[in-house]
Amino acid sequence: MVRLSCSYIPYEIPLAAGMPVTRDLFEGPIPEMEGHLPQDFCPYARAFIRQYGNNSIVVVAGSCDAMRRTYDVLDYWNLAEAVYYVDVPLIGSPEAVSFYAKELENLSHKFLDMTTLSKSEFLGRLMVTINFTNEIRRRLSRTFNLMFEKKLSAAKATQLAINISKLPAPPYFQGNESFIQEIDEIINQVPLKSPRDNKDRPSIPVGISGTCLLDLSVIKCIENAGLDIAFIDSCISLRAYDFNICSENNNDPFHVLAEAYLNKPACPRMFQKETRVSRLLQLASDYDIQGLIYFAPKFCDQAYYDSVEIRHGLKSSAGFPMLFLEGQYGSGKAGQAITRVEAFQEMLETTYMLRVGR
Amino acid sequence: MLPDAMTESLNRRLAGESRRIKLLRTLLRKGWVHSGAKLAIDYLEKRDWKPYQINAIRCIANDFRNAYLGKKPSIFTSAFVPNELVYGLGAVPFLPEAAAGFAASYKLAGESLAAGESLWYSPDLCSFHRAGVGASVINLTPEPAAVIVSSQLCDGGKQALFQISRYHNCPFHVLDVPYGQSEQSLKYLSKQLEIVVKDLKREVPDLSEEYMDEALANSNAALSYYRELCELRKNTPSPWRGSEALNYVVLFLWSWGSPWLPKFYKSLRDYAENIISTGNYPIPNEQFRLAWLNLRPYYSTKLFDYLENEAQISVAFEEFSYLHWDVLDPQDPYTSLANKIMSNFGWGPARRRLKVISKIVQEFSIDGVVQFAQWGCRQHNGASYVLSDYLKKEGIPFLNLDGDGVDIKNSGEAQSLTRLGAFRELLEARKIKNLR
Repeated sequence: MVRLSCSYIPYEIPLAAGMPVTRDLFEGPIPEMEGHLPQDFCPYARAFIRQYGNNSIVVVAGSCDAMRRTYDVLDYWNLAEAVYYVDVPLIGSPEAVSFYAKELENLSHKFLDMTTLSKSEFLGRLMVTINFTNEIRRRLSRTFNLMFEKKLSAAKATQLAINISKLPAPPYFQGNESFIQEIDEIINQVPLKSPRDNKDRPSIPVGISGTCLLDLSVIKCIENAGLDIAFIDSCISLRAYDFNICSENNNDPFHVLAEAYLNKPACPRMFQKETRVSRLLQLASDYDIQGLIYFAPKFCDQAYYDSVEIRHGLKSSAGFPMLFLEGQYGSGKAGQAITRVEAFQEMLETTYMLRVGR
Repeated sequence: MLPDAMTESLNRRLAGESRRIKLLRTLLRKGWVHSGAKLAIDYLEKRDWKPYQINAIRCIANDFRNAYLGKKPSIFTSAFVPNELVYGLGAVPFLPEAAAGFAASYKLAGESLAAGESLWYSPDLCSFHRAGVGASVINLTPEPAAVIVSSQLCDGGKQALFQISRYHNCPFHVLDVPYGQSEQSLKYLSKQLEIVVKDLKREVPDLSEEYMDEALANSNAALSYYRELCELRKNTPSPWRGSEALNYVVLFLWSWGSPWLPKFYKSLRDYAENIISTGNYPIPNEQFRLAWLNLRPYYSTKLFDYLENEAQISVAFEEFSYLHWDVLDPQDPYTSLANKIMSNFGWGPARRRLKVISKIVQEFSIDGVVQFAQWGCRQHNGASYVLSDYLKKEGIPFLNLDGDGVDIKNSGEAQSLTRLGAFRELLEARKIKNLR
């Protein structure tokens, strides 16, 4: 099993090499593994530290300081059969794309060494795999559209996305179609609700942004407070699926992958000038949100800095208020978070009432 | 759109706007103040200040004068950008995170930190970066003409400078440094350096590459003296106080390419040579020799008084002073500078850093290693358990000393002194054990 740490690492490469792959998302750090990273450290990184055993290859992206140190810990203490590092550029320039394409090619060589596939066979499979993952991404995007249509709660939509990312995607041509059917079945089995129509309480749409949401507790907390979540800009939702890889005009699949992944909706780690704020403003306008809730995993420097920029950007450009929440796994269950979200909801509701003159 | 958003956020009273800050930022921009500073340095020279101290002050004062008075464009850089690039373009570098150390030593960090926090920067961020952003928004720093960051060593440095470029609405460039060493990585980085220079010449008036040869020559001259100095620092007892060496790390980060750096390292080499030949060591009864990782508290602290005066323990060498690059080639400046950046052992897998720490331990006859665990430093603190395990296996005592280099509120000095005391006892116990 190949385990990926970040949405910037293409699923397609291990899949084309014939290896099942999954994006690892956890429910929190394992207490007995806590001695490997400091306590005042990113909870996602701490949760990532575990004994993976001999059947697991872990691929860690150099997303941030925390994940670079996570790589060091996994590598130093041999916590998996193999631990690979993927150097994801911070920018999306043509030079960065070429560099990342080479990096992905090097990663594929590591996988290829474990198989009997020839390089040309692998490249052929890679092109087909790209189409396969496009299908999966389309389905996941559809799931989040159901959330916007209020047929599915944000918590359920995200849970669905998490379940699908955790499904070990089958290796190349070992039941790709049945895998997609399986995904369809999972999606179809989720009971849809009718759009909410409560005249007593106004529907106040908000967006969620941040680096990594860690778990569903914050989403549930926001929904329980009576806010409608219109979009979730996080690496376990929109940013992971809201893009399509176009392979038609390029024969180099690594270049195709590098270009698509580096230019997908940007994570706060990327230095793409005002792209983050522009995208959030666009989402805010598309979904007509009234406010933004920014969640930062505790000690996440990328989120701490990004949130400041987003706060100023949204306020001055569109007058949106932003609520900043930070925490560990399960922090949405904490009284403090609930109180703050409820106060935010009341503020938005009052503003709404004043605006419509009720 | 966005730069306006960031600058608009400054249109309110910020915390940290104290009277003395207002006075200081006015004074820093007055020509007569810098002329007065020049005279004061001449006076200090006559009052028996050591030549290397005078050269260091002149090195920084020269850059400050050019930057604050607007005589040359001031380019803000993160700590590991090769500043030969900046001097080579006819500009002067300004390192907000290093300046945060200055601010702490002059008791000005409180205002800078407060300004940063009033703009929503979390107190869980590294205070060197928070204070850097804070100082820039209350205009304690000069006005940046542009900002260049490199992805090494940490996220905080580049993110903080990115925000500074937003507040000041100036061009921002990032050098995306590859994590691994390969021909492809080198090409990627040298190409970026070339593009940055090309863009800066277009974006900032008065920049030209005509100074590049001179900047590289200055850097190479300084390198040659610095190598000799490092050799001299291997001497037992140590010819230079580590507490002072940790202060001068600022020049190691700031001034490569400056005409003053060769003068500084030459005078420092001469000083160390003289100390060794006369036997007039700063810690004559040196009991133990430490390697110091990461930075130090830059406000007044008793830690080094305890180590150097009471316990007679030397900080023989610092991680951040370790020379990791070779002579720069003026015929191929971009590849040379790319090589310099990529040779930084702090970037790349931890095993690379561990090897260098091992070398420092061997070459400088180190008895124990202390890592100053700067609050909010994910880069270094995240590796502390790996480092601790590695050094334990190598049989080298290790202390991870929590603290904060800029924010005195986080200092916990008494606890640090207790831990240093315990570490000293451990070193003594090992010495006795080895003697038996």
